[in-house]
Amino acid sequence: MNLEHELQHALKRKSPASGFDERVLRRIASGGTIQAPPPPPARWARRALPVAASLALAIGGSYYVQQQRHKQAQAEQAARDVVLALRIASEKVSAVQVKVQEISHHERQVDY
Amino acid sequence: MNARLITSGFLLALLSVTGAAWAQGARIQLDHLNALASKAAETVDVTVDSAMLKQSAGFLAGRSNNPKLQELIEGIRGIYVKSFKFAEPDAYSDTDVDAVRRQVAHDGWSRIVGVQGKRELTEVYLWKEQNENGGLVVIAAQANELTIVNIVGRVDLASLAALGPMIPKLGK
Repeated sequence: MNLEHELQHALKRKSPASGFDERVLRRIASGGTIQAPPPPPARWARRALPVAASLALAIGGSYYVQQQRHKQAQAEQAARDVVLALRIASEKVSAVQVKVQEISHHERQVDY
Repeated sequence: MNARLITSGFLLALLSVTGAAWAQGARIQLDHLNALASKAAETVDVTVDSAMLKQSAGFLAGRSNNPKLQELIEGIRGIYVKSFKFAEPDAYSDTDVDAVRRQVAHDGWSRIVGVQGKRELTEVYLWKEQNENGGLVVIAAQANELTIVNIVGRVDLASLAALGPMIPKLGK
């Protein structure tokens, strides 16, 4: 009985506060808009998001791997150049050493 | 006023010239030899600067366990090699060699070895930087071969000569 009374009281029709219609009209006249809540994302959008994320990850990953390979190739080429240059330098310096030793050996023999 | 301007200009020019000469240090110019490549049967042209040396250090460390090679490379700041083998003798002129020798005739450079034979010349020059070895130039000229090696940085000649057979071979 009590509950029925409370429900009737809660659902009773109430008039808006005074000046409500004027406030609404004024807002419309000033160009104010009431934003509607955004519509829920479409089903295709919900599916496209993880696909796009995976695609971006795959492209980024492949770019990274390519960059690493490029760096590796550059390091290999640089190492080859270093080794070649050192080998030539070493060869020439040791050839000079041999010549100097030969000359000094020859001079020693002439002295005797 | 004008005299002061001229003096400051002259000082600035002098500073920039000496700065450039100092910056060059043990590095010599070998570009004049590029023309020989067209006459040569075999050409080796290597330019390795400090950035490339750093880049290769990790790769070489993985291929060679020789600490002496690592030690040698650590002191080097640049390696520049031009080597030409010709099918016929006298394909290069004395001027080509003299242009290199002129650059190492300045203060800071000293010739430590010079062997001259019949149509053969081998010279080694060292560059001293604050009483320390700061680079080297090797000129090896034969009748049908000319090789110039320029290493910038700390180089131990004995280690360099001894290291030859221990330098790893890297396939293409």
